[in-house]
Amino acid sequence: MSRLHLWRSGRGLPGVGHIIDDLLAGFDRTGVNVGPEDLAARAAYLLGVPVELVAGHRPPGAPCGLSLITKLAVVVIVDNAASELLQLTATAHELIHVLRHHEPIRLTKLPEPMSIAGLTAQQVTYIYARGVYDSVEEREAEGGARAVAAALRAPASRPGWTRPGEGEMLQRAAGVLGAKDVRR
Amino acid sequence: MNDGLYGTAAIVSWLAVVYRLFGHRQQRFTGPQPWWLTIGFALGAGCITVSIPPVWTWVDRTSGVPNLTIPISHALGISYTACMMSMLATWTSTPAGAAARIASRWIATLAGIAVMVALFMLAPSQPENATTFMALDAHRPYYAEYTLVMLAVFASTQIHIAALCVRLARAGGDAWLRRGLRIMGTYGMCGVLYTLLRLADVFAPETDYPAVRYEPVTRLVLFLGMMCAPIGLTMPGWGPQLNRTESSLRALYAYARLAPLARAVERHADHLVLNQSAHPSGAGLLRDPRWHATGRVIEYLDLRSALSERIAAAPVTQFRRRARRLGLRGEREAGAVDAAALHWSLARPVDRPRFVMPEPAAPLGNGQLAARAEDATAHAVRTASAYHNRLMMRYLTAGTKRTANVDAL
Repeated sequence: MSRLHLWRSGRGLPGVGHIIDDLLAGFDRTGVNVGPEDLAARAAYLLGVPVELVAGHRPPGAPCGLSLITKLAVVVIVDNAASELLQLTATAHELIHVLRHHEPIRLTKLPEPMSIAGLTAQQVTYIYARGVYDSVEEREAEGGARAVAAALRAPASRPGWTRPGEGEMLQRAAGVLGAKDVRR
Repeated sequence: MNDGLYGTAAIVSWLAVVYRLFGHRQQRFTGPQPWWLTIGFALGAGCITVSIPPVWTWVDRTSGVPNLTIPISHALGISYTACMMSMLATWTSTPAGAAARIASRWIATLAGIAVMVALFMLAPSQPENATTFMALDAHRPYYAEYTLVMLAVFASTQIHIAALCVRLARAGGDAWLRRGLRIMGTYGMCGVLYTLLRLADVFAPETDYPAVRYEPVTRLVLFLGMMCAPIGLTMPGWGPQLNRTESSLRALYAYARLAPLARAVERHADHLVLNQSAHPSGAGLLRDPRWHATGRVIEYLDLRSALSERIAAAPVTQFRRRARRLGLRGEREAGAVDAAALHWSLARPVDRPRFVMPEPAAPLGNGQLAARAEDATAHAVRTASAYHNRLMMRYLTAGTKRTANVDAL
């Protein structure tokens, strides 16, 4: 738990095309049954570390989603009282922060204490001092999250989104050709 | 010409098959369908092997059908490209989409082969020609249709292979993967060029330019294409091994060049010698030359640290001036000055140098540690080379005296 960052969802514009492609690759074309857990599993595959989804309670003014990065796993905390679509969007938002390697620019205090199931007291203490991104990173994450949610909840006839992105194609190529490592 | 070119391409293709089979055995390949590539290599190797004139003649005489090798090699060739397309489909599509694309590709390939065989059987028999059959006979009735069907099936894959591999090579991946994909893109372009040249064979009689004249170009293009695929698509696997071999050779070279400094450490401060395994013999050294070379660098740095007070008192300015007089500049000058300072410090028997724990270094980011270690090794090698040069050391340190401070140490 030496490196621990916390992020919150925000608003923004798309700018993360290949991340969206990679995140959506592998799901069947209908996408209606894809939930936050499936997105987390997909992100775990892409990151190579476990991604755990934790349900949390959101007090007024608190962010809808939070994520923690430890050496062992990525923990994404989503408000379990939010709608299914909002949970999906918040999960995608946090995962895009992680996949894009966004770095928090400062630490601030949360507006008021939160109770989050499944976390230790030490983790909750860290959550009170959370990391914040700059506006560009927030716009990227939120734009990407909305694109992911729209693709997963759009009519099945929407073309294109099931095709793997170039990063995913390279990973598959590396596996078939015996390359040890794929770095962008 | 065909013997040499096609024979070389066949050997490379069969080596690629063997390499892939070993890879499967060692479970080196992961991903959805690595067998497509292995089977494809085997089909490609078969295609190019039967095209070697002596094999061609043997097949024809054994079967009793003149030029039977033509449909055999072409069927193997387009099956080979179908395998490549199947592999690419597993990269570019979801599993369900890939299955549909693979099925449609193989239906088209098998249908094409059936039509080609039918046309070959309908075509009037031609005298056996193991080298220039396509150039001389591709325009004849039935053979022309045969060639057009074969090229239609073949060309449709080549454009896709070239475009996708070039695109992926530009997208990223590690260096060997990018190289391999670029070479595979060249294969696709060779395939397109081969298609155009064979198409020209069909329509050559309409022009006054005989196809036999550019047949050597066609063979070269085919040879290049058949070399590109096995090399390009196995390169991501064996390429990194070349890097490791090069790195080991460089480490061995550095280890050997550091010997003068290692001898100095042994003679003047044997308590700083790391351990016996730092001076291995034979297999031990070959097993991990970088570890042993780094051991010698550490010993040298420890010796410098132990002699730091003496070295600080050395007339470095004079060493530098004399080194510049010898024409040494930059890193070589720095190495020579360091060697002279060491030589000056060790010029007469001294008490056992005390080891001083160096100050802890600042934390380094990713890759900086390796870069710093390489720099330290390179500098130690330059210092060792200068230290080994007794004439240079005598010249650089001649006429210098120890200060009272140094003698008091």
